[in-house]
Amino acid sequence: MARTAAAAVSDDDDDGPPAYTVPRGPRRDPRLKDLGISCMLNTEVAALLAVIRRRPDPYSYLPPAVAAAEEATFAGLIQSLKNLRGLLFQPRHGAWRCSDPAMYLKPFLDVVQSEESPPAATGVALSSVLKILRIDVFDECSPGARDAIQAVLTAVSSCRVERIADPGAEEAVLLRVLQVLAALLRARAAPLLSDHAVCNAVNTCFQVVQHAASGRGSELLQRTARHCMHEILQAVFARLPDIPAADAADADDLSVAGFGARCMADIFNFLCTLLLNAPDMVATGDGHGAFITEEDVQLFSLVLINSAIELGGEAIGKHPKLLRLIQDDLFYHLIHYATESSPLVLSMICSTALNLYHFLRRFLKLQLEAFFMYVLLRLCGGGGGAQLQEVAIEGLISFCRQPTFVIEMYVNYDCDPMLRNVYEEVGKLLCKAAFPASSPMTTVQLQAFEGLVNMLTTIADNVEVDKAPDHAAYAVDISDYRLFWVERWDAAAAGGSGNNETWVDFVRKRKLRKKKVAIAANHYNRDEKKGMEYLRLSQLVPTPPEPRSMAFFLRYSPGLDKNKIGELLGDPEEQSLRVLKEFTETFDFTGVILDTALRTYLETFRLPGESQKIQRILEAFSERFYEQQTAEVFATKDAAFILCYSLIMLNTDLHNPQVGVQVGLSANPLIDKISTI
Amino acid sequence: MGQALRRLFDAFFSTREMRVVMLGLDAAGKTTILYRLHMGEVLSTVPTVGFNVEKVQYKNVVFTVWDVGGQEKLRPLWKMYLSNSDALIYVVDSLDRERIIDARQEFQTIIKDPLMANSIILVFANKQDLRGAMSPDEVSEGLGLHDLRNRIWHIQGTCALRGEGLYDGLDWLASTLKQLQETGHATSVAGPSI
Repeated sequence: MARTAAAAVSDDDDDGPPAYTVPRGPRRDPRLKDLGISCMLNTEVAALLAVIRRRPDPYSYLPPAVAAAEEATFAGLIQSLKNLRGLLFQPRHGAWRCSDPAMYLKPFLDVVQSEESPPAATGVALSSVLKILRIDVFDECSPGARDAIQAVLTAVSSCRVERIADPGAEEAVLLRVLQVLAALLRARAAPLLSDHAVCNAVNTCFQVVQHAASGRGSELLQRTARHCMHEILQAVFARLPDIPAADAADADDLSVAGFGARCMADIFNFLCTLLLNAPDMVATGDGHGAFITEEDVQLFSLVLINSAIELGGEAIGKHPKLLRLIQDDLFYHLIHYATESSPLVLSMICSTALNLYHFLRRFLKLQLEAFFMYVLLRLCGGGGGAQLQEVAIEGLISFCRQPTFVIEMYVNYDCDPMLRNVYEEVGKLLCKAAFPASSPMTTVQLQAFEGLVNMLTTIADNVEVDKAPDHAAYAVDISDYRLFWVERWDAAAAGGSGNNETWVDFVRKRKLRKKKVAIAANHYNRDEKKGMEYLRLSQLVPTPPEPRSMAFFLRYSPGLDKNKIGELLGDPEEQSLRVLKEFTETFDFTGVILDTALRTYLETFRLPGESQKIQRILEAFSERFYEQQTAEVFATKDAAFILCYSLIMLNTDLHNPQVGVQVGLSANPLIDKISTI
Repeated sequence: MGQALRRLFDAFFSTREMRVVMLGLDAAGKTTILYRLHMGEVLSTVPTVGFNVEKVQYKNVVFTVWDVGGQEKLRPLWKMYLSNSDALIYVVDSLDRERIIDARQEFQTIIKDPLMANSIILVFANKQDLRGAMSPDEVSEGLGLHDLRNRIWHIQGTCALRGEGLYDGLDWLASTLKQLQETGHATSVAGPSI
């Protein structure tokens, strides 16, 4: 009898979990399905009991005392399994899905968590749980489902694999753990899991990834672990579109609903951290670290990040915390790593950026500009070598293939006075790269040419030939002054005021003003007076000049000489003082600490060296910073001012090569003065 | 004979280092003066953000000139940069008749500071090339130089834009400081921390 049961179980293990099928018929009785589930559970109980009782050697004789002791060790487990078996075929008031899952899950979970279970028993118990999850014996409406599914996660994540001596057996159990975790997150009752539980599942899975990658696992375990990590992440983020926006989510916290955006933000943060800490993850000689190379870590985390973005999609935009992780952390890492990574990583980074563009470009205007200017255009120009150039151009062309790319780039960047001419730069670069400098044509040249064709095709597809206006319609005239830097198109106002300006007219004027600003900056760099004259003639500043418009010109004109900006801001004339005030008010220092704010401010112009000019500029900065501070760190505006002035003095003392004997750095009275602020 | 030769050698080849602070109201021309004094030397590749500081060597004397100053509430900070100063260069805009009183007030405040008690005083009456500028004598009158007791001072008319008069001023500084130090006079006051 024992031999037969053991053989059956062995066959079970070899074939993997058997596919469970319910007999199908046109008049299937619901009770038959439930009876099938009862039979399935009975099978699992029998298999588990058999494994627990199985001797290492069926033919060896054990003294009765030893056998009794061994029996006693598993008595609790065996008894609970027998009790369950006794219940399976008794009449019940409702279907299985209406029963508390804890009733039939507990015996299996106890085996999983037990430190005395034989490894084979642990594996079989995990298989049983896996089967229960996969056929959805219970769902989110079952009574006690929340506690039950939470218990499954707790049991699986606390499964003690360290005690398993045999590497093969350990690996078998780990594989089952991974499968259960993946099935758990895909179960119908999965949404009942808490945020913490989901993070726990991800963490458990990642521990297996690390374990497998550290050389103690086989290739199969490693691949399975990564695959399950991916599956879990997909299951989690696939739910994002169903989660209500942040406001409602806060209310949901009170009702203890299932997992929401919070665990997704935590997981996403974890993935960004993984990307950031890639060097630390690499295996070293003494065994620390789990991955083979930095590239390996980067690819792993980028694949997961990409999936999260694909599945979360536009819904990410409704969750500020998640969105901020993408805007700040993720894009920082993408830009940072892109220019110094391998072609494979760069390719993945470009794919991630394309996904972000597709789903979230409404929220990523500045980030995409930075990505184009500092990554794509730089590498496409050969800044990182021929290999990266090829990958970058391929990435750039992927953007060019998007149907609305050309229009969106032109309107949002080239026509925005505050941003760079991204579309123009892309076009120039592709023309340059496609130029037939050598024969035969290189891959890069062909790719660039394809990009140009895509751009032209997009333009052609959007031209309405029948309605093409005559040339005069394209003339744009700017006859009045407007503070165009921060102007937004207002359809209602345009219609209501009776003027005939259309959105297209608005955009054209914006673009024309931007061109004039560039010319004005060029004049100003050579001669301030001529620059000012041009600004007035072009209606870029009103007559008489208004401080605010001048401040915006100084702040936002690309290519304006920072020395010139500093000189004007430091000037003691009444008009210049007003410009300085308006210039400073273009900054938002809310929530920013002093040294970051000061760096941000001083990066926009070169601080003059004359003490009175420094004083005026820092006074304007301190006033703005003080009025926007939220932490009440500074008692008075003067306190912030004096500290800033001290910082500039110390910086001069420390770094200026002309300084002979450093005074401030060795002066205790200076420290005393600062500390009394 | 050996001693005489040694003294002669030192007189010809030794270099003295002098610490000088430059003050004056806005737009008096301090930055232009520093720029002109610096001309001919290699500029820093990346200028340091902060106050103007220039090291100028002229006739075996190395001047380190700081542009410090500012309003009353900043005095506790920049005052310590007056310590160990051998000389004060005060720059006056000779065109600015309205603000000569402000300049006088600031000037008197500085030279009365204990840290400046031993410093010699050089006044640059700048912008002498422009029509309507006050003469050096008028500037002396305006600053109250003649009323000073026990102070060694000199006023020099300058045109910073063309560099005129600047090295005459440095000539005076160098020769006067050298003479004073040779006769054992202290030309600076140490600060409380050095």
